[in-house]
Amino acid sequence: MADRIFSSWGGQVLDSRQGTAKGADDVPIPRSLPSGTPLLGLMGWDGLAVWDGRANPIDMARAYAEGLVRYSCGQCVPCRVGSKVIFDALSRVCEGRGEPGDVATVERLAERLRNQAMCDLGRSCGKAFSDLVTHFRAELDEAIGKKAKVPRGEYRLKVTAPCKSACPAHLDIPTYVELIKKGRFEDSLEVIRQDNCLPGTVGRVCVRPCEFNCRRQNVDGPVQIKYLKRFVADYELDRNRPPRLPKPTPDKEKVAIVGAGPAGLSCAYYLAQLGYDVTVFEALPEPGGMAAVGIPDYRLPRWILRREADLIADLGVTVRYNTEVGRDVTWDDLVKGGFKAVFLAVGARLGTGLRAPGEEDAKEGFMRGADFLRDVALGKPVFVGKRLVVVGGGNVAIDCVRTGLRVGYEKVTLVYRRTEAEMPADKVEIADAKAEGIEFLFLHNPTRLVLDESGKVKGVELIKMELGEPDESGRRRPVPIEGSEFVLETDAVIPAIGQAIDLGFLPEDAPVKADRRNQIQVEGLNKLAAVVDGVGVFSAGDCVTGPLTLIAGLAGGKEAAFQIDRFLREERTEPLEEWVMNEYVAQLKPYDPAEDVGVPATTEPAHIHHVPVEERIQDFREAEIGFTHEEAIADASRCLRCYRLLLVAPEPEGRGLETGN
Amino acid sequence: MINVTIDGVRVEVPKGATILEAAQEAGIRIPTLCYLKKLSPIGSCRMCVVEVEGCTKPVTACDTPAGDGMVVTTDSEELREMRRDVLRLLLVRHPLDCPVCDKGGECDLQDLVYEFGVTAESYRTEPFERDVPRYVSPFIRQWPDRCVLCGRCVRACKEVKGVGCIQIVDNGFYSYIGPVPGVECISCGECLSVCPVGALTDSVHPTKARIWQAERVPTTCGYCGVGCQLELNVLNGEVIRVTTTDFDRAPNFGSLCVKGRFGWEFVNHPDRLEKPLVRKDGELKEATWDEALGLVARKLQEIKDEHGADAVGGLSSARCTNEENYLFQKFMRAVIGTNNVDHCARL
Repeated sequence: MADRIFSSWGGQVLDSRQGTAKGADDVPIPRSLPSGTPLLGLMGWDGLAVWDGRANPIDMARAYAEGLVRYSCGQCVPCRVGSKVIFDALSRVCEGRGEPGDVATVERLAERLRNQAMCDLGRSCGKAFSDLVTHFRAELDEAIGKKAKVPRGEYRLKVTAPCKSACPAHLDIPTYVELIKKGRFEDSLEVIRQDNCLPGTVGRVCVRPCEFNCRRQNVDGPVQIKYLKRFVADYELDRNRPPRLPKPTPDKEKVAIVGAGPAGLSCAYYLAQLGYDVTVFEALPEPGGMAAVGIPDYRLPRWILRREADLIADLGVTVRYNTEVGRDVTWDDLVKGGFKAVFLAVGARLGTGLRAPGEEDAKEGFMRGADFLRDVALGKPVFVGKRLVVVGGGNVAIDCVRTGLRVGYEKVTLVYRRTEAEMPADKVEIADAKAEGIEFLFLHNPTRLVLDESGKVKGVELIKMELGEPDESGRRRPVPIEGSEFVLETDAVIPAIGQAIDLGFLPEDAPVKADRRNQIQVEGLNKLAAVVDGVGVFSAGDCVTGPLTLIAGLAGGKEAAFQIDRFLREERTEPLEEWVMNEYVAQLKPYDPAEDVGVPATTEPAHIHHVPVEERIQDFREAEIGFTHEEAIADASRCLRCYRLLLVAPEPEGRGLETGN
Repeated sequence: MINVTIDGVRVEVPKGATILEAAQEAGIRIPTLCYLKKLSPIGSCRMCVVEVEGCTKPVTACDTPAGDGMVVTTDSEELREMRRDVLRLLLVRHPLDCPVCDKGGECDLQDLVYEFGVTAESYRTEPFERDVPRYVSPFIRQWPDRCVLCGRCVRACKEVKGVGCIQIVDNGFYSYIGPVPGVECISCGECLSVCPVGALTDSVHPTKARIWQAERVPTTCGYCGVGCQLELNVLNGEVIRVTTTDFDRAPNFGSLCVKGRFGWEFVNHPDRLEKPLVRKDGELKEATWDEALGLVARKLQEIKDEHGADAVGGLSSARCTNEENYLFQKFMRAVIGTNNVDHCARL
């Protein structure tokens, strides 16, 4: 038996108002917000649901229509005017002034929204109004007939989109893509900068969860969101336009940030804009953390990253490079040095080993992936032979093979224990590596290093693998085939199978807790790790989550900044309402890969251009060339603008958002 | 090339052509409002909805590329009703002040409402008041209530003129066309020429005339040598405004600059010279063309005879056409016999 009085969510109607449940299986909807507040009802892109009689669907629809009036962009007629006509009709009904034709008006215009609105904001909102009229017609007629006022509830509204919801930093993708379509490139960049302080960087190397949640791929391929972001960032750079960033004055408390990687920079970016006096301590001689020394220059030219970090410094942030906390600055300097909050964003900078015999004894030809990439990035000498074997299937492994080729290895092989289909690396990256002549050896795993007497790598012993049952990640587990070992001759071996967190800077007695993988333990969305004598210690990024992505680091830093602000202003931590709603929306899964979008498949994604292989493998020049204006505008025009509006009715004691007039 | 079937008519169009373009190729009209050939299509008015076989929802013809083998239906009762609803919704806010509107008689909305027989205001909103900041130019008057927010003016300003001084401000029902802060209007009137309704009108001349009362005289703009084509609207022998209605006509395709569109008042000015003047007894007096030209020819001949051809120099004007300038230099070289010829736009 379902927990709901009524639900039309997920294409299934469930109606237990008459004491008997109609409808088939329950479509699960989380009953409570992630903050714990229970919901009375909900209305959104997939219909409506009522758990509690205190939630009145007619008033919910009125508030939902009000939200649509507020968020409708105003371009298309059915949504611009239709939303207001619907809202006014429902308002009349709720105020006891309903007229006989009002229900028919709502019904008809809801249908127009669903089929005729230009973008998916109107289209998706139409369903809720249709469902209201279909399933609550008697209630509507009664309210109109009796001229009875409908009690007004308190609601929270949330605008989202499948791409926006999938992005860890929740960039307002449909808006900035649409501005590109209109040729308003700098306005687009301004929108991006609200949620992302490294647009040119992310526009080059993001793993782009947005594109994997883009509804256009159900039609004819996703909108090229990543490259569009790069395009507007490059537009500003190429034309030497002054970035549209504020000039805040640091007149608030001092905050220390450990690490100038994506999370640290992002946190500094928001704190500085909020007026805090921020100092960032960075062990490396330059900004970016793993983005600088983990991502090779042919994917992300360092000057792009440096410029974007400089813009953050221009907000009034002090960045102290070559300053390693634990060596040049002590823990006590941070928590007792006048800083009111400390943000730990040290990332996961250590490379991990092969966990195979021989690696301890290797004197030459064995390097850990993260170390190899860092040394190359910093211009330090690395061992270069003729043949190189890289072990791993992620983006770091691909970075290692392509970097290996560029530093002078002649034959580079990537060894991965599963097949290409299971490789976590970006498909585009895999294709680029193949084009550059990298050899891929799938279903093999190293069992030991083969060394000569002096400790030089001579080869690596591999065992053949086959795929067995799926593991908890859903990928089929690789199983070694007994007795299939053989030795592959090579001069060097690089494992690129993970990174580890270095918490060596923390003294033994620091109250910051970490798990067995050295992941710093924080209070969920609050990002609070500890409070030391009134100083709030926060943490986010790879050192909390384990190695993730650049955009996740940026998101973590941003969330931490707002938590630090709340901590310093209100002396408390509590997840911001926006993030609570973001989490809830994600649970509702706004992207449906099986949906028939109903648009003809007559476009194709714009293709990025590449520097020819023979030229690009000579050095670390950028391998990809950005979109032209025409390509960017054409691709941006493919966006379906899948905004979705969600209304929830929380328990009244919850901190609700009053949406009434 | 791809093959598309529109209402049973098979046409071949280049890849990338829109459904609307394919329909035009097939000789089939699809009603439009926000679409204008010279601007990028945005599909915002939703008048051009058509049915595509295999697609569950109607699509807009103006901005949807046609596909090979696509089968399109442009007319059905359902589509007509959808189009009617667009018009009914537009009439929720659009005042029916057609009798006093400058655009009456050449208004796209008026024509569509007439065509689709939308006679009553089927939908309504509660009364509301709003005070929209108008975008003001000495030559252009804005009537925000009449605006249907098709965005043609915004696109024309940006795409045709590269100015981008107007944009859609605010959102939803309360959105309006307003100025872009910091970007100055050049008063070219491009917005005015593309407005489908009477939301932007010409405020230069006080004389009003219904569109069918004035005679439209096609002519070439005389301000510079580009040769822009325009129409003088003439009422009782007086110019009352300049319009451009043929957006396919080279070289300007309906675009004009501020001078061409609004700088015509001199034509009616009482001080304007309409006949040549010849100085007689120290006073300029009206003369015939034969008299004036004869005098000039005689004087030139005298100078040439007395001082040689190089004593004469000719300066031509950028307001003449290429052909006129060519003739002028020919005249100087071949008739006068000097190379002393120059042009004000040479530098």
